[in-house]
Amino acid sequence: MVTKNKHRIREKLSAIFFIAVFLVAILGSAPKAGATGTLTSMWLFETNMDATQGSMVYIAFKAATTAAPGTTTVTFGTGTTTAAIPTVSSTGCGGASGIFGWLNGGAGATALPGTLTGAGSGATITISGATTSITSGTIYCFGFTSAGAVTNPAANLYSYTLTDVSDSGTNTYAVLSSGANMSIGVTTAVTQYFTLTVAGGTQSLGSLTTASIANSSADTATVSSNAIGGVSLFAYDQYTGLYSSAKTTTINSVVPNSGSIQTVNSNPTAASFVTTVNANGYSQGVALTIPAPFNGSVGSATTTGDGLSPTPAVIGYTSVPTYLAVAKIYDSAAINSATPIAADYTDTVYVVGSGAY
Amino acid sequence: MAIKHKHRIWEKLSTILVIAVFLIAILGNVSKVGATGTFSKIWVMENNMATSGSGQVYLAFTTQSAVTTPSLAVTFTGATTATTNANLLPATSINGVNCTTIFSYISGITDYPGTLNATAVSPTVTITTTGNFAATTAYCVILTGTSAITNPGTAGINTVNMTDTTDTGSGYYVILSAPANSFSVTATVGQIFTLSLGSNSDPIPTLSYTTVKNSTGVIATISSNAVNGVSLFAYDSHTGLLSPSTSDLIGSTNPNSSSLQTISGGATSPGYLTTVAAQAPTSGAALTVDTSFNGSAGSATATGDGLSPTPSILAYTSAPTNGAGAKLIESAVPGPISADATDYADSITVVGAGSF
Repeated sequence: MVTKNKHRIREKLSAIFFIAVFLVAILGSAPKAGATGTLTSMWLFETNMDATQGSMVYIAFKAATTAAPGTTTVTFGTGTTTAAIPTVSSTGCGGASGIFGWLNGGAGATALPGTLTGAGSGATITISGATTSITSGTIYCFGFTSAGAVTNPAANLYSYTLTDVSDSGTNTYAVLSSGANMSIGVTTAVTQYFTLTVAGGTQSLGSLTTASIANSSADTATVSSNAIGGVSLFAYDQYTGLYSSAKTTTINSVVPNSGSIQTVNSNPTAASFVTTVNANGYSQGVALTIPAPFNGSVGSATTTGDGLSPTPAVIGYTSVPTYLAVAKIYDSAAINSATPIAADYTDTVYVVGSGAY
Repeated sequence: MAIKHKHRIWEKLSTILVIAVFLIAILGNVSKVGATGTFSKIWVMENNMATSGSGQVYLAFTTQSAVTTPSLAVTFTGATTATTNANLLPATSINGVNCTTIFSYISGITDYPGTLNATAVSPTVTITTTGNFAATTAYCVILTGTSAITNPGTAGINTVNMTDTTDTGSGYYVILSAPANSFSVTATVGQIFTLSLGSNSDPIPTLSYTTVKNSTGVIATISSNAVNGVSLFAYDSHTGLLSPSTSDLIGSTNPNSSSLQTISGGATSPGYLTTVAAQAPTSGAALTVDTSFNGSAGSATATGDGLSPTPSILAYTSAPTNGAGAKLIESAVPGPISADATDYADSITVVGAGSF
């Protein structure tokens, strides 16, 4: 009777033992709740390391375990406060050109994929929205990119703990004293800049006839300046027309400094000398605006423009800086049968400019 | 009858006594064949005194007699010795330290003379030499083989017998129970991280269109015992030099490009970039400057990378560093229509991290 009882007890113990072994095996292969691996290559830096200041945070870590998408939590140092809804972004942190570009042999980190959202509570931010599995051995990165994502405690070295679906790791970051002032003020000034060149040289109108207006080729005035108020070009001439010293006579500029555009036709009632200005492009900034009196056109029958005199007349301007703005300047003359014959009609046109700094 | 018997007994005892004295005298002389003096002040020190431990042997002794090219037999009772010269390696210095330094407390200690050789029939090591022993001289020698001797398995004080052709002597070496003569030294080094700037301002001389101008530069100095190294980042406030009075911006050149950029005097576009040069650390790893910032600052051209409010990696190490510096130089050139103004400004912030 006693032997039989012992045998039954032994059978029951054996059954319990096998069940226990089975349960251990099952539970051991089931997904593990919480962290099982250790994160490595952990980097955390703040954009504002000063004590008591708000900051963005960028983080990189190497996963130890492949795991399905899930939440990631970051617990900052004691005394840290976090924004309730910090912005989480992986933009700009991944790849060779990313913030963590020196990691992974220069290939950089992998931006943590997904539409990430953050929820802060105390010193912990929980990240949700990951859409792709974490791969073992991959270095991931993300940032808390809102300005006050975290607010630092007092200056010290602090431990932080990062936990993803399967792994966890602890590392350290520094909070500097508020007087550390890790900023460099860069100041400079830009000096005034102005260039003006006139190209084209002497223009010959040839032998004037009553049949048509004689128009010169264009001289070009090119102006560049960083004058904040813009530039202006002026022109004036020596004789208020084409002067013949041999005959002491002048083909007069047409209504110089008139403030309005003048029209000269061939074989006019009075011989006329007229200047026409056209804008001709620019490299940077703006093109010259040609004032109405000079913004005419040249033709063999009719030319429009304005006359010059020794008193400067504005022929172009801008209201902002410009670089290589060009004005084309034409000179035209029309005579009638009463115009004295002479071979030495001449004038000199001067172009000057200025900038409003 | 009793008296006569006692007398005979006394006679026999006397005879036995005389014979014994004679034998002692004879045998005493026999034992001194080839050894007339005594080694004294014998010191035997092992670098591993543990039971069954193997190590080197440091030996010092003082001769009584002068001996030409002595062959010195040293028997380590209870121990096992190496048997070849290659494993015994007799010498008068070890790791650059002479045995006379190790036994410096022995007055007149002298290097074991000559060129040494040692062989053994364990546990007796025989040291031969080309040199000669002087009388009443203290000598030292080291069996420098890492397993020249293997101790017995029992702690205790064991005899060392020494003899050459003239002198003999005995000393002792001590065997301790295995852990008795060692102790562990442990310590913890706390985490260290410091980061500082040499200055908080770094003006660039007045800019002109035709020439690149450069700041003097500011050195960011970082120290940390982070085992995986440190990193330095920088970002700026305006993605360029901003003139509040004119709202004009000399923009950063291709910021966060991760490649080296170039600005030139007289170019049609303004440029503003930062160049970083590593400064040698006091100790530890030097900073590796990221390719995009590893440029140079000149008057005709400058190379580096632009900054923006998104941090850029400037430099890094992969090991701890002490006092590693990164010199940041800002270079700029205005464009031809960059407004003239005296209030162009930017603010660059340097931050760092360590991976502990």
